[in-house]
Amino acid sequence: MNSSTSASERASVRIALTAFVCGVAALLVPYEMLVRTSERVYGVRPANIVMPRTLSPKIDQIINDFDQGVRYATIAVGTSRMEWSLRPDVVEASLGPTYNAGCGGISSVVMLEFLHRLGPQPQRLIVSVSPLDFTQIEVRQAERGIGLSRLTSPESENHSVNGRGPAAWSRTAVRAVLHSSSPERRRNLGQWLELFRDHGSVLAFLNNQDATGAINGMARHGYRPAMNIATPEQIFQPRPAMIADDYRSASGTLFPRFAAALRSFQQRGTTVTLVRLPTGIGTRRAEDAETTFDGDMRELSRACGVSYIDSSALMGAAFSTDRRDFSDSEHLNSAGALQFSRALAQVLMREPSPQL
Amino acid sequence: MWFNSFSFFWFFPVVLGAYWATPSWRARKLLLLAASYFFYACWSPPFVFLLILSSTIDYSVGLALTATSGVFKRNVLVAVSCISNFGILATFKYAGFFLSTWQTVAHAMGISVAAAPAWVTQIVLPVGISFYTFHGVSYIIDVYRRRIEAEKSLVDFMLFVAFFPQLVAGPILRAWYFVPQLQSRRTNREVDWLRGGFLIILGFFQKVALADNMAPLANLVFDRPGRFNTVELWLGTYAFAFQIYFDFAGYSNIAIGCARLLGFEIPENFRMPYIAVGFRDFWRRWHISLSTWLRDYLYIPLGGNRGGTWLTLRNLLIVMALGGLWHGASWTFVAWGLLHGIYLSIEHLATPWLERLPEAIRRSRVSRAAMAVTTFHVVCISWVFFRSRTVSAALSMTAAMLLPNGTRSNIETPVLVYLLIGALAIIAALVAAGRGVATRVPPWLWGTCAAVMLFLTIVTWGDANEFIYFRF
Repeated sequence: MNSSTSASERASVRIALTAFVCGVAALLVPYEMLVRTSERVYGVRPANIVMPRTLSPKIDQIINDFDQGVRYATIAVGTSRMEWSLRPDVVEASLGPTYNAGCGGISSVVMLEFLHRLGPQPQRLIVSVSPLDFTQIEVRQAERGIGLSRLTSPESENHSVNGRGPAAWSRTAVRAVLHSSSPERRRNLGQWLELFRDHGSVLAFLNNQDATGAINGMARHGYRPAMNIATPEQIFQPRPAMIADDYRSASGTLFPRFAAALRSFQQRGTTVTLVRLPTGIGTRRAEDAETTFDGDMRELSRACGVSYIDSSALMGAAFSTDRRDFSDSEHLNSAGALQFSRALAQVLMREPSPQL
Repeated sequence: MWFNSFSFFWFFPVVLGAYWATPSWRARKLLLLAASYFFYACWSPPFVFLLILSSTIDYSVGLALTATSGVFKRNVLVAVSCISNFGILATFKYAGFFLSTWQTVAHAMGISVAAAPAWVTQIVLPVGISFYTFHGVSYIIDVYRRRIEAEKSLVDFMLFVAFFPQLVAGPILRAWYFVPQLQSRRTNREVDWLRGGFLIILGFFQKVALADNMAPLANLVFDRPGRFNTVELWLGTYAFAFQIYFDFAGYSNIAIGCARLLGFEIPENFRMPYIAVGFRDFWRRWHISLSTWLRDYLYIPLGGNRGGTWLTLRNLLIVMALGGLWHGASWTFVAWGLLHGIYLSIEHLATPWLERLPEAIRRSRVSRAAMAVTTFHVVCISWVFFRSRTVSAALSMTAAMLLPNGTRSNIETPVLVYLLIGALAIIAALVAAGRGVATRVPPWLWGTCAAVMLFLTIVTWGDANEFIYFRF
């Protein structure tokens, strides 16, 4: 390498580096200023920016809510079907302080095991069950979602992701300097496009619910209301979940695991009720056609000595065909949740109940 | 330790600084070796011993091969190495798979078999085991074939196997390529700081801003394919196709960039695979280090294309099925590999017919573009098998993709979002292609592109998803 080549290469490196530094500054500084302006406008201080403890905001919320020390007499467990179905404000008059720990994409099997580790000892546990809860897909997704939370269990508190060590220091340092780099400020490309499509406010967008800590302004004790109404197609069209093989192969190992989790709560004196939640008639028919779920649940509940409520019997056939009660094919909206919660509370008040 | 973790942000600068500050070349290599084992131990300290054990066996067998001239003894030595390498791989990666397959077959034949011992189902898959065992096997076979001399320096050999930038997800190194680089002192004057740094930023951009942004759509569709209509299934498959490409290419670029900053060259692993015209071309562009490994150590020893048409097709199917199995202990991966074997076989059979077409048609831009689009879509169908949980789920999804159904749309996110991501992907691909014509890219453009990519990486940084190829 001769000296002139070397000199030209050095010049190229200098130019590239200068362009890089100027480019980063030109993009990052205004963006960071926007984020900080948003914080000023909405009163969110950097101290409120916390690291997520798991990959699921709802699980984080559950951990935080239980950390508050509030004792719940009743805890409801399940997937998003439960999250959108049971209104704590409706049932707590009958069942005492209630927390809806339903969480999208989190199988009841994994959720029960997680709650057991987390330590709450409710008097009553309402566990939503659906075929999807007993598939590897849902369980794997749940384990991934809850993955980091094992670090927050009491026995390994010292290894908390908020703990010590160079990685934690560098994470804290970077996020203290660049608020825009924290996960709560993260906005993916799709969200940006939706902002422009909806002509939204950039400052509000940068300061959304993730950054303030609240999942949803209307959320209460874990319940997440849905306000929209399902379309007729969503209610009536059969919606095969294509989980038949997965259910068949995985249920053999997941049923004993589920039963063990139930027993661990029963041993603490908790009354457990299994509930198959209302879905649109199309979804229900598809699930029944693909799997032997209903019979399996009745057998499992007998074996475990817990009651099993099938909401199609509880609510009547007409309920699952009335789209005004659903937000989509498998989730209740706020109006449907109100009716279902009332009906469920009445039945649970009469426990031990016959199997519906 | 993941590249996209904060641990790596302090690990790499510290190692880089200490490396260039150390005057002695031997001390530098020792430092790199210690850093590589530390890097691996951050995932699981006990498995470092497995890595050391595997390297030590291959090092010893290599020396013994050099000292032995008898054919029988040399064959025995190669067998010892292969059995130890593939034995480790089979135990940690495939034991549960083989056992469950045997149980299924036995059950179907009405034979009663005992349940698998609990320890078999609880075996932890060591990260990167598929990569470092392939390093060892290729080294031993090259020494056996007298293509290279056995490495006498234990440190150099251990470093060849464990060099941290490529340790857990490749590219798969060959001893003849990498070991000579360890034998001559690297000087910082030779280091291409600009391109090394650029590759690292490009890799992070591909992983964080592109692959991780496509993951939600791919996961949504593949988790419950029955809920989506034909268009959405294709959309989810495109998302996965680009997710896995940017994920793996991103890792490779970060690895190559880190190695360059340390003064080493690691071979290119991807060359814009989705513009491939035909499947042979695809495999010359996709995971190049694996495809060349399979060619050199499996396809050619099996006879390659020297034994006539049917033997060639047999060899293609065997090699691709094993290549699929290399990715993971599941029939879905075998099906993915077999599909590619079938694609390559069909192409092999069709080539003489295609060559009869007039040159003008074969080489026209339109026909090449049509071939590239077809190749991409057929490759996408193979990704359905790669990503699905079971072969039957993949078959159902493929059927739904090929036979339009009337299921109502379920994806709320506008399609435009993904078109936007697609546009970004094209930009990234062009930027990556720019590496090949680096001399024509003005330095200010390099710097500006890197700045934009770094900015997008920072503001879209999410949950530090692990790299897909860590699982392999």
